[in-house]
Amino acid sequence: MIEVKIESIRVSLMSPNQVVILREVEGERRLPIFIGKSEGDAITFKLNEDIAPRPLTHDLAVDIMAELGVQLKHVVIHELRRQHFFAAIIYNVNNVEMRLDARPSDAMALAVRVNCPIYVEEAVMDEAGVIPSQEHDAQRDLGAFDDFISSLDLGDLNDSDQDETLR
Amino acid sequence: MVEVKVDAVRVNLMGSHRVVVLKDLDSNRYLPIWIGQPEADAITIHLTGSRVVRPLTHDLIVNIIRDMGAEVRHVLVSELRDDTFYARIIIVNREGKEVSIDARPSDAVAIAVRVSCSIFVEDDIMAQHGQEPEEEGATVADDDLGAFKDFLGTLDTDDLDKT
Repeated sequence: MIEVKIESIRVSLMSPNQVVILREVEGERRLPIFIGKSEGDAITFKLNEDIAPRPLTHDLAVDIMAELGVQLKHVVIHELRRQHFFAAIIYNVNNVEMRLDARPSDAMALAVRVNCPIYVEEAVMDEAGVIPSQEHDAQRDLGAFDDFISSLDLGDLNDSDQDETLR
Repeated sequence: MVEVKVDAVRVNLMGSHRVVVLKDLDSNRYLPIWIGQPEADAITIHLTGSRVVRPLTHDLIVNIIRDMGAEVRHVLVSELRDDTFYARIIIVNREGKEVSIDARPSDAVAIAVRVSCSIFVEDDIMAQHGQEPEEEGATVADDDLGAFKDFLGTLDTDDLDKT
């Protein structure tokens, strides 16, 4: 299992969904996971250290776990099947380890509330992890622009016929 | 405490908020409570029997409670303070001890419909904020039609045959 941190949560302008970007603690790979808006809000809200006047749904889950003596150990995103990520929450009850199926969004919203580690199985990271391109690879970023510039025939600029048509 | 059931979840077309309407089982009183859209969806998805591929947040909470050998006894809309309803979820843990957990009414109801437990409202809340709908089939009083009658009186129906 690879430990990850939530690097950012991004909104999509094209859909109501949000994207959580998980980053390897000991590496460069990122794992983007699409989640619903309300779950995204639940994570952002906690990470921003906002205080809700009333317990939000994941706060309630944490309160119930505390009352019942459930200690969340970690959460893990363990499978990618038909474009869906599957997660589990792992907790201790009287030193017995228990495991429950969950969506990654809920697992992460709980993890940020109890400060427990978030893991991703190696196979999932191998399949869906991405290494971001170097941010300062300026030459490559400008490639298309370079091509465009060289396709221009600057000799045309003084051509009066051209001016005529533009007018 | 009066026992209620979820009568309806209503959509406000002008905003993202929803209203859950709780009906008193023993009388004709209804208690409307404003709730957020995700929580309203959590209630309706379960009540309409829609199948979801993955456990939603309230399903996860119910699974945790079951896994712990605990049971939700009932939920209670317990208080109204500064225009906000407060609720409690009463859970019996594995040792048979009762614990009471603070919750929003929306979350409490979303959990109650999943475990099929009773939903209660404190008497004074229902007494002060419960609403009785008008009798069904009641004839409309003449007074109510006053504005309509005035309008009819202003019409010059002779014009209809002209042209």
